[in-house]
Amino acid sequence: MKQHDRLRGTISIVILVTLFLISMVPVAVMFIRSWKTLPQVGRSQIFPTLPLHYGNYIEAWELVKRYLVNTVTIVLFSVVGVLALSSVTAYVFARHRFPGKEILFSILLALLMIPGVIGFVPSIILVLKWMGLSNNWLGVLFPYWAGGQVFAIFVLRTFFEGLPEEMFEAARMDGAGHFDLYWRLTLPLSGPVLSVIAILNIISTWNDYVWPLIVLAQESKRTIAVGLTFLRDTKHPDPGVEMACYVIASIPMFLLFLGTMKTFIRGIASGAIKA
Amino acid sequence: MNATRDIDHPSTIGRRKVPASERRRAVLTKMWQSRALYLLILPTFALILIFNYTPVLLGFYYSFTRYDGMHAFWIGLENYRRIFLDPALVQSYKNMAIILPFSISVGVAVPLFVAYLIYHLKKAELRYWFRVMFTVPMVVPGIVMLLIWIFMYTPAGGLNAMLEAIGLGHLGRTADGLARSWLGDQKTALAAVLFVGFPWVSPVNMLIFLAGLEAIPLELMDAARVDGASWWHLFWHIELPMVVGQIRLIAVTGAIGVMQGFQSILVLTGGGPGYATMVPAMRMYDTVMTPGSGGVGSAPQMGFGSAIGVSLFLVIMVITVINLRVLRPVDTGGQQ
Repeated sequence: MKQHDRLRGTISIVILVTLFLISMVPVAVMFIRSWKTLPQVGRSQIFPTLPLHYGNYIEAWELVKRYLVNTVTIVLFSVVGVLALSSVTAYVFARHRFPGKEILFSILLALLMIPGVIGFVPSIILVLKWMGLSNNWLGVLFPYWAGGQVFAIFVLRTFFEGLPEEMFEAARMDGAGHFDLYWRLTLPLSGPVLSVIAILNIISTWNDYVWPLIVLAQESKRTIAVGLTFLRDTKHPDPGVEMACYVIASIPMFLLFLGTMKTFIRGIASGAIKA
Repeated sequence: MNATRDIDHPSTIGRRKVPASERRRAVLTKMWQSRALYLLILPTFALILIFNYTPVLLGFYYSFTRYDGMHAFWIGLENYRRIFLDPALVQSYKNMAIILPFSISVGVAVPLFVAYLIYHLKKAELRYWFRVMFTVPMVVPGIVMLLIWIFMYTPAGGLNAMLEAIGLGHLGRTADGLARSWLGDQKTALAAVLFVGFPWVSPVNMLIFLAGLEAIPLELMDAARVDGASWWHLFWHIELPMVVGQIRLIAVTGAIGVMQGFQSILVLTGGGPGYATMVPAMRMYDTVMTPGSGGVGSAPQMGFGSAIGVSLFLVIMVITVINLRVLRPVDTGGQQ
């Protein structure tokens, strides 16, 4: 029985490692090619060749740095906006009673069930035509704030409701107003859940493609996801440089992952509830 | 906080048999007292009304019009008639009939299998590290993954090179001996699109299943083991039934995501060659964004695009309602 168990364990590990290695093939191909010169690519498309050629990264950096700066800017504004909006609204819904509260909340909640696809075409008309926000960062930020806050409010309301009422009561006795209750009491107690929401928002904003593609058509405004497809289609960089661009585009999320591994993993697992 | 709740909530006021006018005044007074709260949630509601609800309503309206970007003409159900006639859309339904079942099966089966293997590892450290390892591909942006897969599929690309290296080079050549362009060939394009992401270990789904498996009470498993249950028996009678909720969650959200998604198709093939990889949402994008298909510059078909959006919306809402109303009772022990 014992031996049987150990055999099963070994087979499991072998299968898991194999699946992991196959999953990583595209990533490995990206890395290997990013160190190749053009003649080296000619010799072998996907297998390593020596010497390694780091020059690709210098060229790639020049190509993508603008996109990276744009994306980081948008991500920062997006995540700060979503955190501010969602935490204030969730605080109001979690800790106060007022007429129409549940109706208003169900208006919010319904958005989690309404598929975004129906608003796709009209959103283009609304944002680009009526508001004239093409090539304007607000054209992506407004929809990010609007859509990104909904799930966050849902999660935060539940969390804020779990905070002990006695603390709020005591603070109110001491004459604390809304601002104190929110800023000095609720937020400091909510670090972990806020960081899960922040990471979720950072990942989705960093990866978003279609909407920035539509709104930010101007070269100098492009985000990294849009910029990479544009580079490949129009500037035709050397294969090695192209792959180096992809590696550079992956580094910020990799650093975020390393720095916040537990929260990161928790974040993407909870993100699935958002349908 | 429950202790103080509902004392003068509107619903309890109603029960107190006071005249309607007085009740209304009480509510208005309460609203006036809460004005600071309304102000605090105003930005949230302004944003969702403008950027989420307005487009939904506009979508319904435009779907009954011919809209060229300047003027909207009411044309009744004409756009909806086109939904059944448009050649690209008709092909897209056939493609969706393949993509949808495939994506859902793969999105459930592979992550469940991986989660199952990890869950049964004896050492806690191993479980932790495999969980981390399978999460790592998440850090590569989706677009980058797609662009790498495009390279894999080019005639001089990674897939053909790999086939060559393992002695299966003939698979990478067409009948006339040319290197195959997997995404450019009518015959292989759809299969190539489906194969993207192989072996499809979705980190999100895997983590959900793992959480589900870890929530199974240990006593339950131990009791069954003491009774001499085989691993297959354990899986079939305990573990699988305990993650049915997760399977449904992933299947339903997955179906909803696949039906309205088109980002991968847009990047990989644009729906081509011909309409070999066309999906409905991609066609919707085409009607407003792609020059020649009714793009902003040429003959825009925003009404038609909206009608596609509304149709997808309706199909997805039906699935959502079925999921909430019909399937839920099964989970809670079959109460009907």
